[in-house]
Amino acid sequence: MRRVLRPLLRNRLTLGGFVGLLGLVLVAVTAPWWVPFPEHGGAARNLAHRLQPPDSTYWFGTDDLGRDIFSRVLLGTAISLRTGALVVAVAAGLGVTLGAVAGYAGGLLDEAIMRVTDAFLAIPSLVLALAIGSALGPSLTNALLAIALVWWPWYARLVRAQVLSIREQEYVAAARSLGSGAGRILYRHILPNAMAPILVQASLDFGYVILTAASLGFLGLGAQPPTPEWGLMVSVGRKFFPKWWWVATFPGLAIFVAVLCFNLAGDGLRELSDPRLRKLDGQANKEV
Amino acid sequence: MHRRRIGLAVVALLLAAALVAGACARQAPPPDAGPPPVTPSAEPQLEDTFIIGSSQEPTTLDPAIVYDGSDRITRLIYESLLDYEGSTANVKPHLATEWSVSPDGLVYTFKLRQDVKFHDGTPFNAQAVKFSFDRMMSIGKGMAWAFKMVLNEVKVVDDYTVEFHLKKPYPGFLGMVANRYAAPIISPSVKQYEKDGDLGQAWAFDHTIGTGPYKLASWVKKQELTLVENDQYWRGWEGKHISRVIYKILPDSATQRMMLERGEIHTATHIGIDDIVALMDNKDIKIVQAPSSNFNWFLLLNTNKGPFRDKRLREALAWAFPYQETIEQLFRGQARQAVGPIPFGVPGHEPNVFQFHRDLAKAKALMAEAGFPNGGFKVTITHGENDWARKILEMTISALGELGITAETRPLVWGAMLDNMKSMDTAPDIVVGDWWDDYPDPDAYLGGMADAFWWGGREEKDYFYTNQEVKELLGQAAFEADDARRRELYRQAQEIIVKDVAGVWVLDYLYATPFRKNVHGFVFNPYYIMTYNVYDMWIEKETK
Amino acid sequence: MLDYTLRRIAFLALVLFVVTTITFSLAYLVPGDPARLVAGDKASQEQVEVVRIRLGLDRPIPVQYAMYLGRLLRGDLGRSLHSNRPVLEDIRDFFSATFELTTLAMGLTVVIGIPLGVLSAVRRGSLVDHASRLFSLAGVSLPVFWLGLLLQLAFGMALGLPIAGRVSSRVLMDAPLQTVTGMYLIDSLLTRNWAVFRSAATHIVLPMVTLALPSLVLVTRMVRSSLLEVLVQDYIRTARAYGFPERVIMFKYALKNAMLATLTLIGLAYGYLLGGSFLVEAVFAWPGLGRYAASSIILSDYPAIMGVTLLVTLAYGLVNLAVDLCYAWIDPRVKLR
Repeated sequence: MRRVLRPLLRNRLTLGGFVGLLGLVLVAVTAPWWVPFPEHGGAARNLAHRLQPPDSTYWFGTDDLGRDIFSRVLLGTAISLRTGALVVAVAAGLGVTLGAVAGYAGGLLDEAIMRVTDAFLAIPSLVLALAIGSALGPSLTNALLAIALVWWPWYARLVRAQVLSIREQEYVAAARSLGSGAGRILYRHILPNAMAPILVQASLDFGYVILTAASLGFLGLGAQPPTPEWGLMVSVGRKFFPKWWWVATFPGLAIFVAVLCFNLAGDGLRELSDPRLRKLDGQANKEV
Repeated sequence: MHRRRIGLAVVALLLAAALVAGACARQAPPPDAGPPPVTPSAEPQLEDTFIIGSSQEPTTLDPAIVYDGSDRITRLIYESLLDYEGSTANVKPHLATEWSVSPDGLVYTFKLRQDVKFHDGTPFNAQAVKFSFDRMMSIGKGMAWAFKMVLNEVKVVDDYTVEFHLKKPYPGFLGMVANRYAAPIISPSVKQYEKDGDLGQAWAFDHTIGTGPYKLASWVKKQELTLVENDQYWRGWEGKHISRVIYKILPDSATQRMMLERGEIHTATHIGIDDIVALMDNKDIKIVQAPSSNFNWFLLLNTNKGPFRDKRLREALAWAFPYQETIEQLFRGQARQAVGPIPFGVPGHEPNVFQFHRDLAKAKALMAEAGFPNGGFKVTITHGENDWARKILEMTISALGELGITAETRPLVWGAMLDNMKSMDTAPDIVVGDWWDDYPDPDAYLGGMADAFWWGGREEKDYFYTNQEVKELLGQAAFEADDARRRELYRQAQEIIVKDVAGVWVLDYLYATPFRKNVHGFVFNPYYIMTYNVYDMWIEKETK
Repeated sequence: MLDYTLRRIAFLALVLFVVTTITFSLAYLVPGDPARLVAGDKASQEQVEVVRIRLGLDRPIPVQYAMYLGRLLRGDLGRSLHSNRPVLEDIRDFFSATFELTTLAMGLTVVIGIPLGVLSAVRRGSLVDHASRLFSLAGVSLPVFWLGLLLQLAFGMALGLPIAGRVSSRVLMDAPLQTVTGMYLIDSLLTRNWAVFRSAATHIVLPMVTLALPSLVLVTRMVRSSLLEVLVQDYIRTARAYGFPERVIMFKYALKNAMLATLTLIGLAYGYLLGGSFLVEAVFAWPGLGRYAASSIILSDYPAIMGVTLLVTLAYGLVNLAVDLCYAWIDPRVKLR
């Protein structure tokens, strides 16, 4: 444990990232109980105080319905984190399954799955998510689905590589000779060992998923009003820019800070898990 | 040591690059600087180019098809036989010099101007009028539906006399001819561009051949349309005029406002209310506000599908809607609460029909009565993408929220919204809508709205609302020649519609058009809303 | 080489097949009857059926799909439900606007990203390490649409740089631009239309910088890390031992090798830029594919959206094909794969 923690904590940036993450999670879980105006997260209105600049009551100012932007930004944390978690979970689930099957089965099936996987990787993800989102209709759930559908190939590739390297190891061969079925071997022996890189990949993805979801929200294909989703808030606030600059600025800042925390932490984890893995920056090959 | 030198080399390289970039940047002039300094003279110098910023790109320039905001362009290119006088609903001669109506109200005879030519030199005459109306009817889009209802045929009497034969007497006919969507007078020479029997639709999509003061010079999609003066224009170019018009497509209110403040555009069509109010303090900007307008907003409720089949739920929403807050705060006092479906200032407006006001207790009681004391269900809403619709939408969500109802929303443009309403698979529960009459007649308002939203008239298919009695009343009223009797029929229809809560009639907005202060001669006419009488306007050079 | 090229082209074909399969199946999820949409509101049921048969919408789905692919092969992307014009025709103008923006952003990425990466690799030390890591992670964490707004505020309002559109309408009107490639900067250079060139150049600055920033930091980081990796290799150590000047080692050996890895990244970064351009176009009213897609979405114009998706994928695929072929040409080892 110490071996893992010490290098992580020694790097101040990584440490900063983890502290930030902790903060985000805390805010996401507890915000409804302590933000100044919890009801402003929804369809409430407070028109007498609309479009007020930041002051001591409304730290980030108010939006066009007079809702407290500070409360809304904080309440939006949970939405963004949940989006990230759900997409990563769905994408990882799909990708891991396909990757494991491809890696374990080998042959034609492997070839077919991997070619399709590669093909998916060669489609600009935001554009594909846009097409999916517009066919399904704009909503947060559909945006989640759209992003997950373009995100799984990364996991499929990763897991397949892991499976290929683990498959031939002695303990797996031993299990096989003892008559364990393919599913059991994958589940009991191979996947647990492939878990570490998947987790690293997931931690790196989190930030990007949040960013992509916010982008869809900004384009009107994600969350719909009155949800305090950050991308949507920037999109609405943009109509009040620049005179009422705070309406768009603070939600945008929130996206930036949250994504940065995930990237700092994920990057730290990645370096830790494979210090030599500098060659292709895990995020570099992922276009948003 | 070595390392440092390399570092320096790289720094030098970067510096050099930065210098080059800097030099380039310096060479560039201040971008799009304002007009050059004016030379003082007694007569103010005029600018020749008028620049309009708008969120909406025309969908086509074919005058027979245009039935949306595209008339902002086509009104400058194509002309009608008649026109509205100033800011009123009174018709005056335009391409027709005079007209007469037969005693039975069935034949309208127009005498035409003899000095008019189309942009390509084709003479304007009775044949051209007949051709244009026939073309519109066979294409069957735009205002064709309204003309089909009343018009039997167009007859050429002689080169400059044309008769319109109606199916039955229709009181709104002259207004209909003057309206901006019934300006389909296009040169018969468009026939030569016909492809696969499309009557030249594909060509006329982005080519123009009208009689109006301007013609299309270029159209760069999603960017701008450029119009230049038609030097053969029959009203001539003596005096103060604008010779070129640029219609710039700027997708949102914030950009339009910034560019207006910087003087990069002269006016804008979609600046939101908050920005308008802010612009009132800007000394470079003047705002033309119409005393009355038919720019109105309402919620249409789907009475044929979903929760709003239950009238009590519709009524609950009508009681829950925060009318006064919306008007005073969100619309900054630039509107007033609607009374009945026909707005203030539109013929047929009925000041005495029932008006809901906010009463949340009553709304909640109705919810309970309907079996939903705490709401707990979801409704779908479609809405347009502009400041006004979005504000109404937010208030609707808020009011629904107070009743415990959640909303799923979807932004759509006008045409797509209508398409979606027409099939019960895609129809939402609520549409945040607006409607304006094409011509000053209650049939154009209420009849048109009913056809678009409720039962699609000739198809006998019901979309959002069904009431046989209203259907009959409106059908009867449309052709009723006696004014008092007609008014009574519309009153009855409106009472039933309000009683049925087919919609929540929210507010009538005082439409505001912002201009740079050096733009003169604009006349606002509610029937030509969001369009400009550019030919009559002029722009003085701005002095800094 | 030929074999490799063929394989890469076959892969691109597969990618396009996958993307059309996805968009085609999605089309079935779009509510509404496509035949009715084409026929128009006022069409009778019989007319709708005629349209259905004419469009082949009555055939089994696999047949329809084959027909769709056949049309695509002939360059027919279908008709926009909204403008009723061929999607390809609608898209053409927008494509050049997007291409101009993304290509310039790519140029900026390379011109600034590579020297910056070299610089940060050369000046190692914990402060530089930290700064470059923070810089690159912060760069990719920025929502570009938000960055665009901030830049509009900072440079547009304060310095008077244009904030919307490709060119000043007045300038374009006084000095009409002859279309050659559809890219304003190139066309105005070719036709020596300096007024338009200046206006177009000032208009593209803010969107270009906004769009380039995330990919720029990625390239910086990539160059840096691959340089660092190369610098510890044996042959560099040997060169050092021979006493070659550090500058020669850096530029002749290290950078050349690091470039190879960077080249691949540039292909990938292009996808990043294409996606990002959809957002940047929305902020800066840039009349490109993203604007077309966005307006098609609120028009429910699905054929248009399918067309955009396919074309953007094709553009991305071609850029990567070019990059891969360059790579194989520079580094023959690749062919062994």
